[in-house]
Amino acid sequence: MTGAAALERRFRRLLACYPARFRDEHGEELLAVLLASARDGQQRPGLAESASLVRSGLGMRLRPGASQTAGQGWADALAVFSLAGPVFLLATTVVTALLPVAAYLPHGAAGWLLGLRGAWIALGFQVLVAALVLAGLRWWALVMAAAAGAYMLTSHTWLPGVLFSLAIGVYMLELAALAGSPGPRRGRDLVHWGHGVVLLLYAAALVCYWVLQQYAFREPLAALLVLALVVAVVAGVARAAGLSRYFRLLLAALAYPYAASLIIWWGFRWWLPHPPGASESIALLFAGPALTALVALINAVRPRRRRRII
Amino acid sequence: MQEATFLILTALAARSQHGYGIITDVLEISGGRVRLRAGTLYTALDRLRAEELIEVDREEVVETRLRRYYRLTPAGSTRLAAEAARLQANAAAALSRLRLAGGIA
Repeated sequence: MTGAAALERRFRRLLACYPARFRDEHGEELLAVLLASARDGQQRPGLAESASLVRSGLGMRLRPGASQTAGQGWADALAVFSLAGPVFLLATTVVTALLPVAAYLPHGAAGWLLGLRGAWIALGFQVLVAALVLAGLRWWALVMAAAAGAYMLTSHTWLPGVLFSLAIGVYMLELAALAGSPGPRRGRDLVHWGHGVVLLLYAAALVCYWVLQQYAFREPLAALLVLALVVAVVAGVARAAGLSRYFRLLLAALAYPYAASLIIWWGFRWWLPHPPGASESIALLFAGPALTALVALINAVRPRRRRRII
Repeated sequence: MQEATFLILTALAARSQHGYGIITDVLEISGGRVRLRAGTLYTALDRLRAEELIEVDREEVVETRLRRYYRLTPAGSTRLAAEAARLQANAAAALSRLRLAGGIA
């Protein structure tokens, strides 16, 4: 083993003192700086450098607020969501709504499709919000996401229920994400392949769930169990991919409206005297994402206001 | 604001820099008095990013090593300017009192 390789290996051992999140984000560049700062022919980290790395790394693990406080965890999760949420929604909408519809086009459905004005407007909003977050225009995206959510809630739209629930849930969390986090530019720094894999899996699972709900489920309990299984699998993959628990909670909140609708459906059969009214339904269906958005927003904003550089 | 933080922000005031560049610049700015350790620097950079005072400008790979350049955000520039003005006012006050006491010319 050459001297440089031995030095790198020893520095890497010292970097193990840092939290995994920090190593993922800064490990390679910190190592590059350590190696650039080393003397020619140096084979071992100096005592002072080693002590500094151990102190900084352990300090980050032990000291509350040093690296990943709950507030920063929420802020980072919201920053990633602010970028990924609208793209995820758009991709899921395209696959769930447009591809099956496209299958009917050869059978003369084009005229009917073009007549779905509300659907096209809602889709236009989704494209616009996704484009704005990808361009890093946080405040424009916030205004557009608010307009898109308001349009969907007031226009009694059009898209299959599975997409309506998803869109409203995403817009609720997106508003919190854009208002309470540093926004999509910070999200770009934090997002990694794990987010892409998990969101792709989640989108695929929702599409499959929708298909099953349309054609296979006769009993709400069976649908509820399948939904629980889907969420458990996605949560497991998300954990294995290294996604923070805050981001996993945001994803779980998106599944809440489906679970709530199934429980209402099930309850209506057995103990509810009558189906809930439209406004009650909206409140029940979206209490989960709304509450999650509120908790995330409060936690992400409060510590940032308190933190000071001393 | 700690001196190291002030010097890091100062190093980034004119242009974006990577980690090693910041260390050498801080050494120069401080007249050789402050030699930042890499661990200390990256703890500070992580915190300053969370505070939205700095952001990543670009990334390069040089001889297979990742080199990430940082720059001040508008909030970072404002914060640095405010801190510099505060230090300048304190220094002016100190010098003025010393002159009154006949301590310095």
